[in-house]
Amino acid sequence: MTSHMFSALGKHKTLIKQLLVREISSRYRGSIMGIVWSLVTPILMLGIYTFVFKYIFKARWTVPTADGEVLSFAMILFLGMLVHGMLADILMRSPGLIVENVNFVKKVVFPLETLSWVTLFSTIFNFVIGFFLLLGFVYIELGQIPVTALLVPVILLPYFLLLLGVSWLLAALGVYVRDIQQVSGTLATLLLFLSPVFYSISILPDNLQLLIRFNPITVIVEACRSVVIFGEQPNYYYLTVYSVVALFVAVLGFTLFNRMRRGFADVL
Amino acid sequence: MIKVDAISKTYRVWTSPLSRILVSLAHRCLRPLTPDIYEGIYSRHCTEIEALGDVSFHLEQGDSLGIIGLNGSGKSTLLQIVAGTLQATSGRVDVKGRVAALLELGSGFDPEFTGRENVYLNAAILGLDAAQIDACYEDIVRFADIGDSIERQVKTYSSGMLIRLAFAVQVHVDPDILIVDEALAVGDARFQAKALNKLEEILSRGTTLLFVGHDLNTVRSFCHRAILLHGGRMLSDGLPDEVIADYLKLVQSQQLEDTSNVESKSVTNGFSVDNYMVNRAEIDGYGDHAELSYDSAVDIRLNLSLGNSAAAPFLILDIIDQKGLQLSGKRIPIPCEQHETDKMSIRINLRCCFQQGLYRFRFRIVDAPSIDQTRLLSRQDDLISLNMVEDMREKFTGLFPVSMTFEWSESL
Repeated sequence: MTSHMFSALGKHKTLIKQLLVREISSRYRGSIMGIVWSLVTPILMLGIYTFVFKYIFKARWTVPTADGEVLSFAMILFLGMLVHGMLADILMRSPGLIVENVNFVKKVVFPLETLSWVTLFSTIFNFVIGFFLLLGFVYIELGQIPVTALLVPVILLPYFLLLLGVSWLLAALGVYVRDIQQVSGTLATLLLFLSPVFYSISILPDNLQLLIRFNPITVIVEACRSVVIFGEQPNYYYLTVYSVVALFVAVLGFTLFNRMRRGFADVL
Repeated sequence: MIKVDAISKTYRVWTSPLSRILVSLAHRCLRPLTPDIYEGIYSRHCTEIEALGDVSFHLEQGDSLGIIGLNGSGKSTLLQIVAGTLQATSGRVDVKGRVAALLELGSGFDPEFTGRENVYLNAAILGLDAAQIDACYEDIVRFADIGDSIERQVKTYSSGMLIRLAFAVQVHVDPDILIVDEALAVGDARFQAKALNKLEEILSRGTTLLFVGHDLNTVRSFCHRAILLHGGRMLSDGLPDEVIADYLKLVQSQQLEDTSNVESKSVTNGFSVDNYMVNRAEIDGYGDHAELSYDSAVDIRLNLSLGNSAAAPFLILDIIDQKGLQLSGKRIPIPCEQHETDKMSIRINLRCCFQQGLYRFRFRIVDAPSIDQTRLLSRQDDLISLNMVEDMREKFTGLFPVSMTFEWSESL
């Protein structure tokens, strides 16, 4: 089943590439600045965070660096937002994937599971742009980029698996239960506030900490912060557990997607 | 290779999309425990409509099958099941090879993107990799023949251009199985001719063809075999000519049902209502088939039986060529005063000035108080036929001569 799950990646390589190019360029097609927007938008966001948190709220992250300097709140926040942004993207777009591509269901023979891959890759594309921006910012603020930042792909891999599984699940469910599209947006916001994006998990009481750890982005956000900003090793125990859960979610999503796809044409 | 084994398709019309999944769950969880509750849930959430029942056929590589039938007879459903976009409710479908389906041309196109981008996307959907698409891209563009528009957004295309491009992509990906659903009815005459040529070329390479169309001539010329669907069932299965005859009979009988409640019955090579029919037809001195040279005189003798429901009955004789083209014919009023006898005979004389080939006569009896109010009473095909044996291409073109004169002069 697991190997089957990834087979689309090899078999429909060209198709996924074509759809991805279409997906990314369709977002900016017709706009004057085009692809530049995918760089400008995160810069603007970063600017807004810096302004609001540094100059209005005068917020400080509770963890000081080795030389006692207090880290830029905006930088930490931005990394959290980047990670959360991927989940939000998947949650918002997946329920409509099949519903919005009725032609692919009814008019042509189409490997529908590739749609989730395409969504994942376009999300990663956005993330990568934002991430390089962040690295530049880190370099300016800290004067160096921690070498542990090279671990980021390893940390994100299980996250991608989880996102893929969620995407398959929501795409299939979204065909039958149209309400999911409404709920998933709210859920994305909820998950943002119930995660250590705006605050450090260490300021919470223990029982609340446990709850927050069940949030699918908590482990990833914490680990990314450790390696990119603090220059520390991530918590490998959490990451291992997370990977097992993520793999399970991906297999579950794929299995259910394949079960439910038989009925797509009947209700669309 | 296509193997369709006793498939049926029952559309379930769901009260809401959620019902679809609710019933599946109930099927799994509730049915083993309390079948009654399950049945209740099922009937509340779903109505069944049978679109196809017990359809079977088997095609080897290189076969071509025409599917004909009235609207709503299940043709498109059958194609979609073979194409794999729909699941059959029961039965088995085995399809081996790359399937290109011209189900609704252009429906996979994204209007915001250029022709070139859409060609690449569409070919990728059909399972080609980048190198293969590059290899056939030029051919596709040349075939579609839309000039520089290929670099423009598809939303600026005319519908003809869109169809041409979509068709070009589908036929150039070298499919093993081609499924065509009335796609050729669009496009101008020049493109249609080109498309038909291309289809022929593909077929000669051993591609299996599945064709649905109301254009019976195309079915006749492309398909080795045909099936007739009616109400989701296979009514007949055989050579295209036989199946087309059955189809025409079906069409006529449906029209009759629409206009009157008179029972129609099948008679020799056709059908009849209220006893109106041609009982016997022969060409004097030849029987039911004559081999003739150009410009021979023919004497056709018919015995008719007549009912009494028509106020203004006519006998219509049509001369039809091999491809089904109606060359000419005549409406002959049936005299009413002698109508008391229900049997009459008639002799028709004509000179056969036709090009070499096979010609058939079709007889119809209609009730027609005026030319626009025609009610068909009987129709019989193929009772008698002629074979013109002389090649007359030196004398005239086409099927029969038209008197014309000409005069040369020197222009200045």
